[in-house]
Amino acid sequence: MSLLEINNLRVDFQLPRGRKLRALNGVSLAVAKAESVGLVGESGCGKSTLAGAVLRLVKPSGGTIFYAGADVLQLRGGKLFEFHGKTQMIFQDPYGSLNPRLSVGSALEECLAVHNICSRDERQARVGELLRSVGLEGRHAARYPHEFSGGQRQRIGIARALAVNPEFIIADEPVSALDVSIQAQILNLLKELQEKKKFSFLFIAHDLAVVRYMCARVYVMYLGEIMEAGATDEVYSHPAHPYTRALLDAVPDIDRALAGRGSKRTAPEGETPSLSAHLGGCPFHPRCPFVKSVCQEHAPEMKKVAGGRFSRCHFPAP
Amino acid sequence: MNAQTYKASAKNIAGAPLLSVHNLRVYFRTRTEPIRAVDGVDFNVANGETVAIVGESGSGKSVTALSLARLVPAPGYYAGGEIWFNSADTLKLGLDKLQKMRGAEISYVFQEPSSSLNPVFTVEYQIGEALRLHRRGVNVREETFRLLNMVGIADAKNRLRSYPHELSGGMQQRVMIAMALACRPKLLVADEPTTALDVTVQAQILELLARLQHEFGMAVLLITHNLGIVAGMARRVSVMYAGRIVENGLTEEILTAPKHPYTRGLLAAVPRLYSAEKRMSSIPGTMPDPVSLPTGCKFHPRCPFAAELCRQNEPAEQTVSETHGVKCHYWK
Repeated sequence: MSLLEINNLRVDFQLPRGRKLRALNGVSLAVAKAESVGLVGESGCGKSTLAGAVLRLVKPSGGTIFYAGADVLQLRGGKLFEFHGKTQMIFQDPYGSLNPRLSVGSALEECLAVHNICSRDERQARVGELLRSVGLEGRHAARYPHEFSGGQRQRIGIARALAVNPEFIIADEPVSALDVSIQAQILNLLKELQEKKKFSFLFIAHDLAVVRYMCARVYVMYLGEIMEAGATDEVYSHPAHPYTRALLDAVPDIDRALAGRGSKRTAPEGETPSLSAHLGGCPFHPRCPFVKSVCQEHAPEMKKVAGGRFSRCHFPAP
Repeated sequence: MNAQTYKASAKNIAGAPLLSVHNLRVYFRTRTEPIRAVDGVDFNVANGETVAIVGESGSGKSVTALSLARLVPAPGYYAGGEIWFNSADTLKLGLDKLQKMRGAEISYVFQEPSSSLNPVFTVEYQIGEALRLHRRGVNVREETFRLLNMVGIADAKNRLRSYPHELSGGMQQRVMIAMALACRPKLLVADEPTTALDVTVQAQILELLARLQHEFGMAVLLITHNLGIVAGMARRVSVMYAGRIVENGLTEEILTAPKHPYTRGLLAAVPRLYSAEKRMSSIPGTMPDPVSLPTGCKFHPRCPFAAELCRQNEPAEQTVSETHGVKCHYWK
């Protein structure tokens, strides 16, 4: 059974003059215990809105979210507090998500105190442990966020997420602000921690290669809908949805560029339309090279395709 | 034309280089010691050639790019070296000559189009500015319209009257490219031109740059942190670290047989789309503080092979092949 189960989730944002923007349009997604699941998509596709909805930071207008059998959207008071103690988030910009006026030690101690993880006397020792577990040193507790480099700040962000011993962590673009050499350090750290502590991991990123490295299963999102889902290897080697294929083709990959000179890959045409445009049919149809009239009229359902994958396309590639 | 596989054909590249940079030093004044952002950089770009400079933040790649048209802002200053462009040393040009060169012979596309475009002027006015300055007598409206079509902006007629905020990031970058190419420059410096864009739009912009370069036969200096883009776009590449070029050569040489430990580390740290790698290797430590650079080889504190010699002497460039150079004592 899945630890997290999202069904048909919808999120609408109210725009001026009574208009509505549908940020999530019927998203279903599941994460099993100790599983690492990727969510990829371009800016504006709703990745971060989904993260917000799961952690009850954004209010959905329809659908359900179940966590360990409990209806997350119905949680109140103490139960909601408990839920927030089990689920944590790692953000993209570690500087923006750390209080500049709190030393790293006090920021971490606050998490421990709020969720009553350990007694007051043990807190300092626990902070030291946390910092060491993310590759920093105990003495760093006395310093402030501005005294750290970007990579170190992300380590602090990770330590804060780990402070409450969460069962479930959502990482929203945790390495996209970092340089390549530092990015690899942080990815390896997250991978090691996930394997050691066995938390469930929803890894949100726009970089397909990073997701492949981190996650065995992946969901591909476009304009507030899941376009394709399945084992990362399967999805990457035989993309069923034209959007997935376009996305993969667009990645400037070293191996492919060196090997595949003269191969025919062209960038998809057009750009992601505005969510408030309310297209009929398949959201990808204006950019799809295989578009047929049915795609403009009827939104395709999520269908099972070969290799245990799911694709939302009228004409999935075999 | 495919951006990911396109390379300028070698036959265009002959004779004296269009751009030749020797021992360039760009420092930034501080109250104490100057910050040596670029410290002894050499490279050249031939007519019609695409050369990439790759490096991480703080490596000095953007300062190098800016100095080519003497655009480094104060407190930065040119502490030494020569920049030969079109048989003149840019660092010694008078301001009037420099103004004639900027935008006309050498032009730029920057990372963030929304902050490079002026929010209060229309697209037509901003593209037209370069035309009015450098190509007197040309029909600005007609030429702007032609340029917008050239960079693939649909509905160009109406877009002439658009303001930057009415365009998407990809469209803004297309406008920037139209501006940069308005005067048919001999050299286009593209400083992280697609870093702010989504991956599908990035592919479109790279394709566009490759196509236009082919059509105009201009040279492109591509500044990027993305080795995948280098692999698809550049004929040659220089790898920068701490204000120096630590390795340079043909793209194939650098990406398939890198000699410098930094280049090797960087390549090993890039996640690949199709590889079964279970563990990526990473480079330990961080980029050194430019105020207090280490002695000897600037990479030695992070280098797995560092020896006493590396701590004491900064390595000079050594020849790997006719086209491949590396600054490492122990590259063999």
